[in-house]
Amino acid sequence: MSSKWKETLFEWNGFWFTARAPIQISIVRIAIGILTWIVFWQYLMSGSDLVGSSGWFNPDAGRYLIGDGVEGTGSLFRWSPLYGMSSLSPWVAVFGLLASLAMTLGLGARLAPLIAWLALGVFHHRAPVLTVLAEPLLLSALAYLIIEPGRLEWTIKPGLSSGEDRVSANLSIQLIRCHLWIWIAFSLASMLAQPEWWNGEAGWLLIEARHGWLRLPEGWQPVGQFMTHCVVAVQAALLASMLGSNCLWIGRWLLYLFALSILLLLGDWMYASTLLAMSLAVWPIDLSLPKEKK
Amino acid sequence: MSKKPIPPTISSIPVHSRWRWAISCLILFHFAAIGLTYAANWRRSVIQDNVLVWLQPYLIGGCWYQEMLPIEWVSGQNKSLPTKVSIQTKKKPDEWYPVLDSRSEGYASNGMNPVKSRRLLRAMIELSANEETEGILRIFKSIVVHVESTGPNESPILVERIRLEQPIEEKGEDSDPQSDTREFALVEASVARFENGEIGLVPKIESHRSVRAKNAGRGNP
Repeated sequence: MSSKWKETLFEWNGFWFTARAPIQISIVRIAIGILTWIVFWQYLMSGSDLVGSSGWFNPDAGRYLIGDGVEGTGSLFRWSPLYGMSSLSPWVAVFGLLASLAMTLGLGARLAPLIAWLALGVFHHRAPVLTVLAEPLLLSALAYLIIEPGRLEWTIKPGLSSGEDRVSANLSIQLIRCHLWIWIAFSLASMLAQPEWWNGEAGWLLIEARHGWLRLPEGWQPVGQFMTHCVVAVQAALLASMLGSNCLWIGRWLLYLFALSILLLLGDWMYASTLLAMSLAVWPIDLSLPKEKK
Repeated sequence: MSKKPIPPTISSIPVHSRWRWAISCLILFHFAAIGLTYAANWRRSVIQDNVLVWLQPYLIGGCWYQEMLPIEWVSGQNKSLPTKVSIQTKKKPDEWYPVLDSRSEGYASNGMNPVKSRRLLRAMIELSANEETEGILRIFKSIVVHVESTGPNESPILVERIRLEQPIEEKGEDSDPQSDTREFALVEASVARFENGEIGLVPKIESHRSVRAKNAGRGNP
């Protein structure tokens, strides 16, 4: 075996299979738990109105849009019971609410994220066409948290004993990290596949359509153009910073900029919050207590 | 050049090497599959399509399949234009009343999450662009049933016509502050009621027609 190959293998093993204190994953779990709770609360309040038998998007329309009965559409694997029993929607939301609350509080171990994932999956499969940007990210984070949800206590005493470190905690963190990187990479790639992101029109289109929080008067198109280029540049720089450990600190600020641009142009605060929550796997917050002065 | 130090914890990893290989293979498979489904939003080939169909049990069943989810923010100019679904009722047959509006900012108007509402409108625009009238009619029917079922009991709303529209602002050289705004109907359908209480939707054949919505008494058609 060549030394280069050996080195790569060691790096791979180090990246995925190094034991890690479960603190960081616990913080991610709490953040994801809170956001999932909000999503289920929204489904509890408006789920029946949305996907009920006389909702905005009833099961008949839902079945048509997933290509029910058409070969190659994969509609067979859409396992949501809400197509047949749409009245179950509030119950699924309640299960999800309880599971996400348990998750936030650190109860139920792996069962809590599993139930939350199943409940969110029920809504996702019922209306994939209505899935908003935050939901696939939350679904993936929940799936990774099933591997290791962390521990109940999340306030840290300085210096945890190495015996408490777990490989599963590291696996979960790295999976979330890689998933986030791939998501941002394809977000950028799909933007660059459209001329609006090259000529700067995209930002102005979103401002004009009043999707985001930013309101600009007519004739301020250059600002929209500038913001378009900023969004693209920030995403590219963010991806680069996530790869290199030397410039990882810049990434945190780039991520805040990216989240801000989501709010200003898209107005999707759940998407921005989910990105920030998942980014805790990349940029952990330091909760260690300050050392006592001697 | 100095050699990179080997992480000290490697030797003490409590995972058997055979498991490490199995987990490594699973990780590679997982991210390759996810990469493929995300890339389908961007570019796709026949081989990619075939592989995605083969991976459907894992990708769809595991909620990883995001083909229907456009991760880009803007998708073609017409999909980002303000869009509305409006209805005409029996009581006021001359007025179009918007029930879904991509510009609505809160829950107040229709009780729907504005982001979800935008997703639904965007899906309808995509269906319209692909001339999938059947899909739009099913969503129209769903909206009509919802609007009629949520109306007040004492004076129920009876929808006569429904349409998907995109407003177009037209500004001429003689720029008037109250400039013309046209609602361009992409798809329009009339509601047919059957004796058993069921409803059906009949699409308007001449669907691409401009209808003045504002400044109705100012002349130009």
